[in-house]
Amino acid sequence: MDNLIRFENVSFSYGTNKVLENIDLTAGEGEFLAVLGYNGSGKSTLAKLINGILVPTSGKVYVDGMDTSDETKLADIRKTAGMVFQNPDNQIVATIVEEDIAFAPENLGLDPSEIRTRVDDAIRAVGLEKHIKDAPHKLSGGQKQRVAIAGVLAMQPRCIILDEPTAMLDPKGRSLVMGVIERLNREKGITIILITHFMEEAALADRIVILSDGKIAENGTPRQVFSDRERMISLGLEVPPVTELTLDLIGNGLPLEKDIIHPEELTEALIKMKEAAV
Amino acid sequence: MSTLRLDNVGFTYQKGMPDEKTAVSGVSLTFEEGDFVGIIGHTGSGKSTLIQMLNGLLKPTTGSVYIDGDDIWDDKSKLREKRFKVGLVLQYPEYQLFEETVRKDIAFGPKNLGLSDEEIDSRVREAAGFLRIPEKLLDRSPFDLSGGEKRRAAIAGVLAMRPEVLVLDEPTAGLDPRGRRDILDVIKNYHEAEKKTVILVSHSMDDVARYANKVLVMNNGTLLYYDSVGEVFKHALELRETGLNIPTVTGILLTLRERGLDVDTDIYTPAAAAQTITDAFRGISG
Amino acid sequence: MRDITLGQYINGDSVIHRLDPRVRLILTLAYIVILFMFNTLLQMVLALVMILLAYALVKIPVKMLLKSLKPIIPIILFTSVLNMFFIKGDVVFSFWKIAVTKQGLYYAAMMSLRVICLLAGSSLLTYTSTPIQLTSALESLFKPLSKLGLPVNDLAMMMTIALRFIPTLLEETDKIMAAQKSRGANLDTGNFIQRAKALTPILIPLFVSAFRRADELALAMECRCYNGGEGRTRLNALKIRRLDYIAVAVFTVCCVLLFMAGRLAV
Repeated sequence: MDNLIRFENVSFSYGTNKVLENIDLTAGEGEFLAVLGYNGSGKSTLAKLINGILVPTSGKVYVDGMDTSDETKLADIRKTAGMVFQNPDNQIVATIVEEDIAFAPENLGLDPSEIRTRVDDAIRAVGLEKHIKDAPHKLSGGQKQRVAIAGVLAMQPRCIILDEPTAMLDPKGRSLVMGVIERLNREKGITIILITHFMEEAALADRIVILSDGKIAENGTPRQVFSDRERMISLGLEVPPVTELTLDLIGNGLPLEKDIIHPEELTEALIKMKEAAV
Repeated sequence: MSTLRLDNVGFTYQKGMPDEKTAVSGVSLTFEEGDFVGIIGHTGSGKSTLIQMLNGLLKPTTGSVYIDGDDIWDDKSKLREKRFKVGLVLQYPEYQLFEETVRKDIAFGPKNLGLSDEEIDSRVREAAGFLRIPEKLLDRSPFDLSGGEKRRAAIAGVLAMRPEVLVLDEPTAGLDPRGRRDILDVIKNYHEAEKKTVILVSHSMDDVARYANKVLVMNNGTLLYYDSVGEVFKHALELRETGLNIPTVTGILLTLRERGLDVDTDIYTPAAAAQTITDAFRGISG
Repeated sequence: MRDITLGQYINGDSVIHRLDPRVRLILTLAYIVILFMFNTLLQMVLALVMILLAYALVKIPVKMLLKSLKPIIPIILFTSVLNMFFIKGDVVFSFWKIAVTKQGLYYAAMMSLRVICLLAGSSLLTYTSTPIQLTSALESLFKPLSKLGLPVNDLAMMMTIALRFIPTLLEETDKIMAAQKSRGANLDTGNFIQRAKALTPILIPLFVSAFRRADELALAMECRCYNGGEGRTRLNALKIRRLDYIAVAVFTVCCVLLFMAGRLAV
C-alpha cells in the first residue's frame, strides 16, 4: 500500500456548482505535498474530501485503502488523516493547552495513562512543553497553531492535512509552524498535505499540485513548477522572489539554471561562477 | 497641506496597575502629505498601538498627536471631527461589514459625517471606483461576496470618508497572491491619483519595499528607523539582527557581499538586484 | 483583564486547592445549608470563625474578603434595619416612633453574620476552583442523571466551549468597536433608543463571527473524532484521595461542634 491517499476520478459539486472535476491524485507514505491555487480553486474542498468531511459526488477517495464514503470507517479514516485549519482560535476546544491536546484521545476512549503519554509526546513534538498548563487565548497565533497541530498529533495520524495553517500568522509564527511541519515529515515520516498561498512554503515540498478552476493544472516538483513564471502568474500565483531574481539574471545573460528555488542555491551558484571567472 | 505629527508619544496599557505594560514609548515623527510609508516590526513591537493613536482610538499616555498643527485631544468636542481626517483600516476589516447591501455599508461612514444624500452617493461611487467594486455588486449583501471582494468593500467604507491620511493594518493578510496584488495595486493607484498620505502596516518586507517610499521600523515599542526605503535597507544587517525579515533579495545580496562579490546591498527588488549582480560580473570579466 | 476562563480563581497550592473539586463543591453547599439551620448568634460567630480559618489556610488576605463584601453592604444594612425596628421585645432605646429592641439587635447581628458567611463561603469556592474544575465536578456529580436521559456530557462540553470562547469574543468585540468607531459610529452619546440602535453595527458582525466560529469549531471537533459525549474518557479523571476524606471528616466534626454549641446557648 504505497499510496496512503488516493483520489480516483473525483468530482464534487455544491448543488449545481461544480467545485472539483475529475481529480486523480495520490500522496505516498511520507511524502510532502503542497497544494496551490487561487481562492475558490477548490483547495479546501479537496482537503475536506480526504478525511470524509465531504464525500465525492462521483469517484472515490481512499485513505490507507479505506473508502471515505464508508461511514463505518470514518473514525479510522480521521485517525489516519488528521486536519489542521487556518484559524487557530476556531479549532481549540478546551481552556487549558493539555486538555485541548487530550481532546481527540479522549474521544477515542483511550486510558488516562495512554492519553497522558500521547499528550506529552505531542506537546514535545511542537516544542510547547512550557505552556502545557496555559490558557490557549494567552498564547500567540503561532503557538496556538502549534497547539492545534499537537491536538491532531495526539491521534497518531500517518497523514496531516493543513489548510493554510500560516495564513493568519506573523513571519516568526509562520517559520516556527513550518519548522514543526517539516520536522514531522522528516523525522516521523508523516505524510504532509499543505495547502498554502506562500510560494516559499511550497518550495519546501517534495511535490506541488496546482488547482485551477476545479482541475489539476500542474503536478510536479517545485523546480519544474516554479521555473515557468508566466504559467504561474496565469494561474493566479507567483514565483518565489529568488526564482524571480534568477530568471531576471538569466535574462541578463548569466549562465544559471532556471529551476533555482532556494536562496542558498542561488548564492552558491553565483559564488562558484565568480571563482571560476577570477 | 495636511500633516500628521507625533511628539514624544507613548502608550502604557493598564497604567498604574501591577500588570501595566508599555507598548509604545517616546515616538516623535512627522508623516508628510503625500508620503507612502510602510510600517514594519514584530508582533508586539507596538505597531498596532501606534496606529490606533493616529486616529484617536487610543489616547496617548504621554506626548501628543497633532493633525495640521492641532493636538487631537485638546478639545474633546472636536475629537470626532479630527479623528475622521485619519482613516483607519484595521486587520481583517471584512469583519466590520454589517449592512444589508454593500452600498449601504460603504455609506455608513459618510452618513456618520452628516453629509447630504447626494454627497453620500457620490462618495460611495468614488470609493467603489477606487476599490474596483463593480456597480452590480453594490446592491448585493456584503455577506455574499468572496473574501477578496469583502476586503475591498470594507476598505471602500473607510475611503468613502475621504480621509487626509489612510492607514491600513496588514490589508493583505490571509489573501491569495492575486488578492494580495489586487489590494496593493488598488492602494497604489489611490495614492498616485489622490496624492494623499498612505500608511501601510505589513509583515512583508517585499511588499513594503515594492510599494512604499518611506519605511518606519518599530522595535520593542520604540522607533528604530524612519527614513526612505533605500536608507533603511542600508541597515539590512541590523534589521536582520533584531530578527526582522529583510527582503529576500537583500538577504541574498548581503551573503554575496560577505563572500566577496562586489554588489550593492541597499537594494530590495528582484529587478534592481539582477542589475547589480550582472554589473558585478561585468566588473570581474572586465 | 476580564479573564473569565479563570473567574476569580487565585492560583495556589493550599490544602483546599488540592481537594477534589467535587468535595469542595459539596462542602460549600453543606456549609450553606447549615448556615440556614443555625439560629443562634453563637453558632453564627463560630461559623464565621470556621470560614476565616479556611481563608487562613488558603492565605487569602482578609482585605480581599472585605473587598468582595463591599457590594452586599446595602443588603446587610437593609436586613439589619428591618430586623432591628420591626421585631418586638425588650426596648433598648427608642426615638420618635421607633423602638429598637434587644431581640431586634440580636436578629440583626445574626442575619448580617449569615449573609457574610454565605458570601465568604461561596467566594472561597470560586477563589480555589477554576470554572473548568467546577464544570467537571458538576458533570461528575450529575452523571447518574444521564441514565434518565439528561445529556450531562454534552452540557459539560457546551459549558467548556463557552468558557473557552468568552475571552475570544470579548477581544473580538473590542476590535469591531474600534473599527466602527473609526467609521464614525457614535457609541457614547444619545438617549437609550439611539444607543441601542448604535449597537447594530457591533452586534451584527459579532453574531456573524460567532456563527462562523461555531461552524469551524464543529468541523474541527468532527475531524478530531468527536462523536458526542458517549465513550469519552478523560485525561484528568477526578479522583478522591485521602486528603479529601480528611477534609470531609474535619468539616463534619466542626459541624457537630457547632450544633452542640447551639444546644448550649439555648
